[in-house]
Amino acid sequence: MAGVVFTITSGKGGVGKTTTSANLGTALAMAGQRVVVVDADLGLRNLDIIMGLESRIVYNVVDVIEERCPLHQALVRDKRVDELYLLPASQTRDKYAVTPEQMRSVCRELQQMADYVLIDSPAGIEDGFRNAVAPATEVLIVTTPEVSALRDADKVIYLLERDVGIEPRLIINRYNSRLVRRGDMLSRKDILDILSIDLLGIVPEDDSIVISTNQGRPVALDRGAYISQAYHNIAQRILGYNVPLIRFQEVSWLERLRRMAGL
Amino acid sequence: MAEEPFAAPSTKPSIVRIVGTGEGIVRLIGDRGGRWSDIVRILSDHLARAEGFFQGERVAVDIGERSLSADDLQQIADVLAGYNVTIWAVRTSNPHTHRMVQEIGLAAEWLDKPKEDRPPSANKGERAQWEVHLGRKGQPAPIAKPVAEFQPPQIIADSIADQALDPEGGAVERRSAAVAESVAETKRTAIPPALTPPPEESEDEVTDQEMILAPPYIYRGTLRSGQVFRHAGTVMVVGDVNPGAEVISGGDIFVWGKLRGIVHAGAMGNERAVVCAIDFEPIQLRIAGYIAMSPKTVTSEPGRWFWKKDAVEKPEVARVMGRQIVVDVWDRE
Repeated sequence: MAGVVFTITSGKGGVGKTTTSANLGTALAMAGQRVVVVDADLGLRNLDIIMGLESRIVYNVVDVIEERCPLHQALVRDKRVDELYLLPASQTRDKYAVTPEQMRSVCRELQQMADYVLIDSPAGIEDGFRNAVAPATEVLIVTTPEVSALRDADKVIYLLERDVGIEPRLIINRYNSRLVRRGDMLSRKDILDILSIDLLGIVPEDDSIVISTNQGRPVALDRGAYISQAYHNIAQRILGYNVPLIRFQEVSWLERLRRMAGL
Repeated sequence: MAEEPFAAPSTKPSIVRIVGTGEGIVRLIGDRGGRWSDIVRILSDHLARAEGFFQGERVAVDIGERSLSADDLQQIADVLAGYNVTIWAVRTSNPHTHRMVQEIGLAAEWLDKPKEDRPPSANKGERAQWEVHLGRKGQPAPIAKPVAEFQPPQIIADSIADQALDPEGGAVERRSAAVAESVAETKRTAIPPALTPPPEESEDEVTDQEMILAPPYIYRGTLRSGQVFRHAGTVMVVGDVNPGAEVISGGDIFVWGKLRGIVHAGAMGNERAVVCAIDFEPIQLRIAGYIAMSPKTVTSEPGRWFWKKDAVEKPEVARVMGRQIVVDVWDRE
């Protein structure tokens, strides 16, 4: 059976598309699936760094498209998990090196070998975005609880419905339940009110993401980490299990006091 | 309706037909087969053969059921423009094409197909839809103005927007000379200058006459950021108008849902137009030449995002009263 192609996109940059792709890919692989994550951000490749696979890249997606190497040779295997592969982007060539049709044909081939293909889309709604959504069977929209991110997500949903005919699902990233409770951040309800699409999951704001990103080790690898659970829950929901939304971890008053003191 | 072909194709029955309907010329493009590029080529050939017969004409393009992209439509508009022919409306029975037509800023018209979305007056006769009727309230309106004088709403909307941003009335960069020309023309004739009291003479005839434009249009679904919906008649949106979306109407605008984007009612200068919404929180509101900004836009109060406000749980209506836009709770007056 051919695998499912998820494109992860947002419109706005910096909301966590790449982090989500890396962690979701890891979580799905840890759940026993064969996963390929594809970096479609040609010219500005990041996904390999976040996954910590930068040093092992030889070929990239443009090499595959231009037939300088077979597909399997360009795939970088993540040794920390069974069956997780990365198809890296090119850093030297840009989005104009690839057409939507070429992306489709690469993904068709990947679908034959993997259960899940995750495409990390570049920001924006131009050619790079069109390349990334062309092969998609499903689309995940990542947004943060900010009005600007929300506005862009809304536009992307409109474009997807118009041009691709896909009803995307939503991941809310960097959700700060404390600010929401104080009324200083858009709540889940506010966001869903505007976007009116299905919510796949919420990822809370957490410092450990910054650390894991810099270390090149997706946080989903550490099952113990609080934030890791959010990604595993999303993976479970993708696999068809009904998992409740994450319980937000509360920062104790002592902890807050400690932070205020700068310790 | 009597249809007489002007330029019959020489060989087999063509997929492109040019039909005269008295005052204007309607160009029919059949939906049976044929690649779009061929159709455009055949049309181009027809025009070339006619040697300027259609110069300066305004035509309606009938596309039938065919599903077209914005590029396809632009292609045909370009071909026609090459022969100095302008499109005043595109007729289609395909919802996708219909949307695309509106997207590139042309007037769209339903053909027979999707019954539930057909404007009520669609059977009156093909031409009647886009004529401006002037007549007393309650009386059947005689056809008063030829279609040629119909001004597409977006140009007026643009000119109003420009003036609003540019109170000195200085030169605003236009996309093309043609648009600039028509805007200048519009400024002279149709609309009172934005944000200034309308000239007295516009009060006399039109005010006690009911102005009926295109038939109302019901849009089902949510208008999302970046989406612009234009229609010459009254617009009813069954769904939400999200922040960043725009609705521009020659008549009234009713939103059966949350209104959070930008709306412009009476875009052709009709100051009697109203805007109603179940949940009324537009970022910006325009009626004819008047502009109002949401008073809730800037707030320092924590927890109040720009579309949040002290909830008025009732539908609200905006109208022009005493030369400004007034928003009231909707009640039985």
